[in-house]
Amino acid sequence: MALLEVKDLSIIYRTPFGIVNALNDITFNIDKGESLTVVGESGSGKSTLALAIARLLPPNAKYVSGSIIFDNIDLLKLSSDEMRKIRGTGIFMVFQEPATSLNPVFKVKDQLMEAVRIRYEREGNIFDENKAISEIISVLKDVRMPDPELIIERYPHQLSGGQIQRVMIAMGLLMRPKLFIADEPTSALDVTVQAQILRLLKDLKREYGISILFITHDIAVASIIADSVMVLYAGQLMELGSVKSVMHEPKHPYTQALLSSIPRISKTEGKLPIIGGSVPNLLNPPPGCRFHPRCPFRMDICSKAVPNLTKVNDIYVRCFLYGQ
Amino acid sequence: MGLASFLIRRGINMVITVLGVIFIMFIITHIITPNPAVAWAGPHPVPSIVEAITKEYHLNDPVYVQFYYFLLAVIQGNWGEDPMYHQPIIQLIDTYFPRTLELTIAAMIVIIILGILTGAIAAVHKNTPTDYTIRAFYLVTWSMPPFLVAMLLQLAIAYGLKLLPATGLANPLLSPPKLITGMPTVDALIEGDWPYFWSSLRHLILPATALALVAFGIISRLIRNSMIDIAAKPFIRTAIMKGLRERDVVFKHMLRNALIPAITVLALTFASLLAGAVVIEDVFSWTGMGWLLTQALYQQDYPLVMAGTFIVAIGVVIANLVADILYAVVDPRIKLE
Repeated sequence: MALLEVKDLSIIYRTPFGIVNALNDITFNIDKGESLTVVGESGSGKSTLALAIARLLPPNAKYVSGSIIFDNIDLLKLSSDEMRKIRGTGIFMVFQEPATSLNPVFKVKDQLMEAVRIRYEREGNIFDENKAISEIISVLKDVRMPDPELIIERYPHQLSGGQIQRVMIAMGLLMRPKLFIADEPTSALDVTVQAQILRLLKDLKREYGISILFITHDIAVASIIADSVMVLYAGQLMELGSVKSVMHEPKHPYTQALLSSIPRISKTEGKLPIIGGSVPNLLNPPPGCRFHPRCPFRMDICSKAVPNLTKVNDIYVRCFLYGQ
Repeated sequence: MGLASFLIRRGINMVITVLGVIFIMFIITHIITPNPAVAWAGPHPVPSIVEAITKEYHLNDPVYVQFYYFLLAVIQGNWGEDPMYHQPIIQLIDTYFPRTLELTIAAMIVIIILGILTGAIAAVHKNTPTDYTIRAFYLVTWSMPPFLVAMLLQLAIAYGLKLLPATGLANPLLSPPKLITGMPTVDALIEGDWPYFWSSLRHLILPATALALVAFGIISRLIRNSMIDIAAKPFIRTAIMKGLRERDVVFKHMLRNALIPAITVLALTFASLLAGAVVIEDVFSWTGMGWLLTQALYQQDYPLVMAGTFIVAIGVVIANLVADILYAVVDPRIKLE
C-alpha cells in the first residue's frame, strides 16, 4: 500500500516577470519502507516537489491541480494547523544548507530535545528529560556521530557541515517520521563526507524501515540509496522506474544523456559526452516535450504535443519514441 | 582569562571616556562663565562674600587647578559643597538621581514590551494594514518633539479623561517613605506603604509612557526588520518542519535571533533616555536629575552641572558595557575578548 500518492500535481510561481510553470502533472507513489530518488538539474522542479509535499512553498507559489495523499490523508485539504501536526512525526525534511539549518543561538541538545518533546506530546507520553537525552545520544550514535555527549553541548557554529547534517538526520530519526525527505543533503559537503552520509541513509532506511524521498542533481548518487528513480526535466516527469532498470536500460533520451555524461575512470579516452543546449526558461517553456530542443531523436510531433506517460517493460516514460 | 582581561581593558576605557567627558564639560562651563561667584553670591552680591566664594572655589586659579580640586572632591566622596543649595553635591545627587533612574527604567520596560511586541506583530503581518498601522503610529510619536508628545499625553489622559495625575512624584499630601534606594515607588514598596506606592505608581505612568513613546519606534522597526530577515533563514524552516506551533517558531526561534541587533540599540536608548529625560521631567514636574540640572544651568550652578554630567556619563558607559556583555549572553557566537 502506498504511503505517499502524488497525483497530477502542477505548481506555478507568480513572479514579477510572469508565471513560472515549476511542476506539470507529476504522478508517483512511494510505498512504506521504499525509497525514491528524484533526479534533476537545477530548475527541474525537484526542490519545489519536496517543499510542496511538506506544504512549505513560498507564498507566491500556487497548487494548480492534483492531490498529495499521505497516509490516506489529502494534505492539500488540511488546515495549516492540521498540516503542522503532520510535519515532524509524519513527514520530516532535511535541507541542503547545513551551515544554516540549525538555529545558531541554541545548543544542539536543546534543538534535538525540542523534536523529542513534540513526538512525546503527540504520542500522549509524559516528557522525561533524562529519557530524552539517552534517546538523543543513542540516535546520534546511530548516525555515527563521534562523541555525541560532547556534541550535544555545542552550538551549531562549532560543528562541521557533515556533523550538522548528521544532527539533522538524527533530528529526523528522533521524530520517527513515516516519510523522510532529503533535499540534496550532501550537495554542500566534501565528497568523502557525502559518501558517508549516503551510506548512512541507506543503513538507516534498513534499520528504521522509513520511506525516503531523496532529491539530488547527481544521477550517480541515485543508484546508491534508492529503490526507484524519478527523472525530472523542466518541471516534467520524464522517466520513473526501479533503479536497476533505469540505470541499465534508460528509456528517455534525457536519462540516457545524463547517464552517459557521468565521468568514468575506465573510459580514459575521448571527450566526456555533454547534453547540448541549456535548461529552458520556465517563464516561457518550449511547447510539447520540454526536452525536444536538446533531444537528438527529435521528431515533428515533439514540439506539438506533450507525450503521455507510457509503460515500457517496468519503466514509465514520457516520450514519443515509445508510441502513443 | 579572556573575560577578566576584557573587563580590565573596558574598565580603563570607561575611566578615560568619563574623564574626557567631564574635562570637556569643565572647559566649556569655564569658557561660558569664567567667574560665576557674582551669580552665586545671591541677588544682592556683597564684595566680601564674592571674594570669599572666589577663594573657596579657587575661581582665580588656572582651569587645570580647578579641575584638580573638582576631581579631589569627587574622590573624597562628598563632591564638594554646592554654592546655591549649600549642601554637599553628593546629597543632591542621592536625592534626585534615583528618581530619574526610576523614570528611565520604567520607560525602558515599556519600550522593551511595546517595541518587541509591535515589532514581532508587524513582522508576522508584514505588508498588511496591521503592519502599516504600527509603523504609522511610531513614525508619528518618533518624529514629534518629545515635549509635544508629553503635553498631548498630559492633556488627553490627565486633563481630559482625568485618569491619571498630571504632575509630581506622588500625592503631596502623603508623607514620602524613608529614603532607601531613593526611587519613590521602590521605597514605598519596601516599606509596605501601599497608599504612597499606589500614588507614585500612578504618577509614574504618564512620564514613563511619554518617554517610551518617543523611543520605542526604533526598537519596533529594528525587531520587525530583523525578524523578516530571519524568517527566510533555513533554520526557521527546520523549526517549522519539526511541527512547532507558530507561536514557538516566532517567539522562540525568530525573536531570540532578532534580539541580538536590538540589544545594542536598547543600551544606547537607555543611555540617551538617562541624558534626555530633561524635557519630560520638566513637563511632568518630575523632580529628578534632569529637572535639577535644568535649574542648575539657569542659576549658573556649574559644580552641580559638572556632577550631573559626570553621573550621566557613567550611566552611558555602564549601559554600553552591559550591552556588550548581554551580546555574548544572547549570541553564543560572540566571545568577550
